[in-house]
Amino acid sequence: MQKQFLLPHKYKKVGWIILCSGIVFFYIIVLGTVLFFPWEEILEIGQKKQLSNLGKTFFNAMPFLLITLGSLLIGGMLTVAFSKEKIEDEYIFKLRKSAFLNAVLYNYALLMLLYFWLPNPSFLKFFGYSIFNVLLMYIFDFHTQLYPEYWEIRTKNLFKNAK
Amino acid sequence: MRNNLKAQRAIKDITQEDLANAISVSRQTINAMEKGKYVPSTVLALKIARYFGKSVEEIFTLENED
Repeated sequence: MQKQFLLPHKYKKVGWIILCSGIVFFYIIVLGTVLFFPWEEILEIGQKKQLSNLGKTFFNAMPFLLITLGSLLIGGMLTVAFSKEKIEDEYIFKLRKSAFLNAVLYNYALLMLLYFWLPNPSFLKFFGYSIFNVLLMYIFDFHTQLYPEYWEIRTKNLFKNAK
Repeated sequence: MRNNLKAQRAIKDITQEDLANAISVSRQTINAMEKGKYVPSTVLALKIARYFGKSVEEIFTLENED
């Protein structure tokens, strides 16, 4: 089996914890934006609404919050993606390779599609999200292939419940 | 390539986990091989054959399309 740079297996749990805290952090930012954003001011032009002190602090801290969010999400996903499984063998290496190829392919296919479909500013916004897409697709593809039984049971139950 | 790993396991009365531990691979690898999703490397095929005390050809056989 080819040697590859991977973190020890124990870091996988750490990665999931960082990733989950990133997701929680994301919802905190969304919630904060919903609570503090002066929607009335945007909807009814002319009506001035002052932000509360808490709101001002929240919006001043926004660049820092976004950097923290990005670091948590990317750091978490990188740690999960590049941590060893309990037993790292040739089959797992093959799964990693195919998941990586699929992730790059799907990401660029999606980007190309959106490039022709979306107007320029919206495309650029999505282009930023593609930083996360490759890692997200890799993690999804790798784990669904690695635990097919779990995945089959989950999807079967989902369809059963839908019926 | 076909294999009769499942039958060999049944003869020896061992689980996928037992076989995986014996030849130092993951249980998922054994499962993928039994389902025909994965063709093992020569090293792994030889390890499996040695574990069951058989030749590689007795466990793995080529199909017409191989």
